[in-house]
Amino acid sequence: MSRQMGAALVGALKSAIPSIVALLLGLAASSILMLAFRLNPLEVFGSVFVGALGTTSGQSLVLTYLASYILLALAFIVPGKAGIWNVGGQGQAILGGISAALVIEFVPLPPILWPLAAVLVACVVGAVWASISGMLEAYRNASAIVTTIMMNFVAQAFASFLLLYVVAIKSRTVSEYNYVVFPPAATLPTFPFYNTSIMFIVAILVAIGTAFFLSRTALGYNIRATGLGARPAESKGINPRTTKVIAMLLGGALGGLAGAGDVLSVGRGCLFVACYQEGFAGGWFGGEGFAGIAVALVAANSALGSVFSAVFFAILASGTAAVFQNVYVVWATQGIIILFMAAPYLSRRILNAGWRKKQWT
Amino acid sequence: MTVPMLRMAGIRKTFPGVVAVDGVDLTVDPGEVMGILGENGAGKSTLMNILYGLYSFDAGTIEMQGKKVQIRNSSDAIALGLGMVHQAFTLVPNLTVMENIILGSEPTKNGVIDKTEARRQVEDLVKQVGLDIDLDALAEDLPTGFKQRVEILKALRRGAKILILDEPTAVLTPLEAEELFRSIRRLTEGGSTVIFITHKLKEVMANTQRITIMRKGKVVATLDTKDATIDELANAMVGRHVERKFAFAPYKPGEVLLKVEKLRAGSKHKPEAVNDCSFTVRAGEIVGLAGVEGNGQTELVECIVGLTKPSSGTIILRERVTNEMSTSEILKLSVGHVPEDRALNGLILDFSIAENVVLGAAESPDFSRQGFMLPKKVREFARSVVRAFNVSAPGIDVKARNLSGGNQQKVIVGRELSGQPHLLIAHQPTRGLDVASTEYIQSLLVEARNSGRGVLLVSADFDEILDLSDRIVVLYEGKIIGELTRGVGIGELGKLLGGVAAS
Repeated sequence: MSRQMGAALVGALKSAIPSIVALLLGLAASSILMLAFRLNPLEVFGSVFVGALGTTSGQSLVLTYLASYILLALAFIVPGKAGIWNVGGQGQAILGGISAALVIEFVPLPPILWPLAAVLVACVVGAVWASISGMLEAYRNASAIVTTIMMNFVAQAFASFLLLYVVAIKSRTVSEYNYVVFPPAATLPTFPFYNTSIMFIVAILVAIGTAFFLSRTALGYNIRATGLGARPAESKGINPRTTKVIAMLLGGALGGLAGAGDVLSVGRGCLFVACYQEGFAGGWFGGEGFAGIAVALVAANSALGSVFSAVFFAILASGTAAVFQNVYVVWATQGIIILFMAAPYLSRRILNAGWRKKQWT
Repeated sequence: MTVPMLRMAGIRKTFPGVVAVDGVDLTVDPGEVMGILGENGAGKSTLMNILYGLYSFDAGTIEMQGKKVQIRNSSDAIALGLGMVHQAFTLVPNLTVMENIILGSEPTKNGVIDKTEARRQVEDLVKQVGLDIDLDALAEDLPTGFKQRVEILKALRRGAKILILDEPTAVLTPLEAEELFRSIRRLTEGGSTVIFITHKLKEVMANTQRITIMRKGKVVATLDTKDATIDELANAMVGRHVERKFAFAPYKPGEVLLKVEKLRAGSKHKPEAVNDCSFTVRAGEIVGLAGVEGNGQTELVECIVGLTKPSSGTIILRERVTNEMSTSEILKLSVGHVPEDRALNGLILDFSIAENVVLGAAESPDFSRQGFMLPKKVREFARSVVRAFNVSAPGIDVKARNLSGGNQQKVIVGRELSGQPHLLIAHQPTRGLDVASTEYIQSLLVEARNSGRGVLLVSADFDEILDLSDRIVVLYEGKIIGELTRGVGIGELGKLLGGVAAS
């Protein structure tokens, strides 16, 4: 048993190598970019690092980002295992976030129940939203890459409508929303000493749960089978279409959870409108949805691996605040790393040219 | 004696591990229609691809009109006056017929395509060879027969004197086929020489001057069509069969396990692939479903296991009509299925052996409780399959991708037989396997039959069909056109495979 676990650990480390190489290549390439702009890469990365980890507020922001990044990566990974590309984490998170906010705004409940109900509603909304793209791909051959991206815009527009015309009319003016603080009974518990909620712990637990789900449950097995071999799976009676839709439901629920977590976290709740307004402008929140995909890619679609790659991206994102004048440089770094991840064969070839698979006879 | 238009001598071509063409001599006279007859894998397409410069060859010479020629690629072949029409057409769908015909050899004026000149040339060609066609129709709108005609015109425009047609009628309706042969006659009257590949006996009898029969990479006979008989052709094509001995228990067929009645089914591309097909499989027998590939086997099996729905007719599995059942419901009626193409349909190559043996069974109480997998049980089962079916692999965590074909197939057959199915459907179970694995898999089928299971063996390999089957049903163009019993009427098999129904 221990030998088996040892072998699994070695395997996990081995599979992490291409990701690490891609990260390093990405950092190197973006250093060159910085040099071209007469910036000292060491200084930039140093200030990103210090900004993210040197202060409590920076650390709090790392943990807040960590939660969103992990969950949005999982929202991409689970459908991905069934062979369906969920690029709609952003839209699912926006709708999940806004439905959680609506629950808190309009449906007062007893303390613990209140945030739980909000989270649950967010998951359901995210799931239903994602399943539309799932069904379009499974039954109508419309690629989910396309439909999920397009539905991100629909989700943003719909959330904007809700915010401006439903929520605003009911109680407050839009500008007031910038200062709205959700009642403490409605938000998630604070993590001690930090200005963030326990959401990042929830996210890590969900990542562990997802890894377990994928490797150790019958449904997780069927999802993986569908992704790696839809035809053999189908010929053994696994319906690839329903499996894909189920995987999208799960992915959407994770996206919705990410949105709810963001909205219900201390320090973010009051920011929620601000962040949506940014989101509508194509900025901040939207970035999180897509960053989730980057996190997943760097983690090579491993649920547990996404925790580690999310830490990296969270530090990068939080530290960006500290080097505000160079924020675009940091974004460029993110983009370059994603480029290197998208070319896994490149890192593999750099690792060892002429790597061959053994044939057993 | 006239100088032959084409002479191929001692042509030999090996692919890794297989001799595809083994010392073939072929002579074609000017103006004749030569039929090349043979089964799947006989080497006929390989030989023609060599002639057309698509494959290199290891030994032999090619002469045209008495002169030795070098054909290194298809441009060489075209320059020498060879034209080939493949089964899959290469037309540009959104160009017109005329544009397709001139494609690659457009007449130009000042660097621009000269459309009037092009039209004149093409119209002349069409008139000269008498292949009538609307030059302004879009290629994509044409029926298959006309698409083929465009391909032929294209080859002729490039100066083809010898036209090679690879299974030209496989994609045609009977009427279109007749039309094609009329065109071929017209072409040869105009001096062209035609070589066409087929496995259809009647076709070759009616439309050629001479016939070359190939089997297992060799030419077994070349006959003048007027002296040939269908029996002779059928026998030459199938060859003398040396029966291998398997330990068969006495033949005692039991209850009917599978009854297919007047079944019609197909895929999007071939909606009528299975056309009025009826047969039965009983317990304790191997029924060999013989047929040249592409006669509806794939669609038939897919329909039986519920991957597609029949358009009419019935499938009765162990006394239950399964027409509307899903694949998983059908497999639960105790059906094992060894699918065609193990790497594509049988195994998930990136799954380990352990993961592959429980494919489709993850929810069964043997391997999971309340949705949670029982890894110990899975591994135990995988080990038992590996042991019982002689899978040679360093362990059950090896990915299927890293197994040899024989071991992959053993994993599949092991998985299917471990479920103790009443009915086993084995579709091309030994294709591409080495001799030892082939015999082993075949002996497993015989064992299954001896222990009272029903086996439907779908195979395009007659040796396998003849060795193993208690009964043979022959599928031709989606229909069962004959049934033979072990040792009875084997001479008929070749004819049936070639589409000549038993009288």
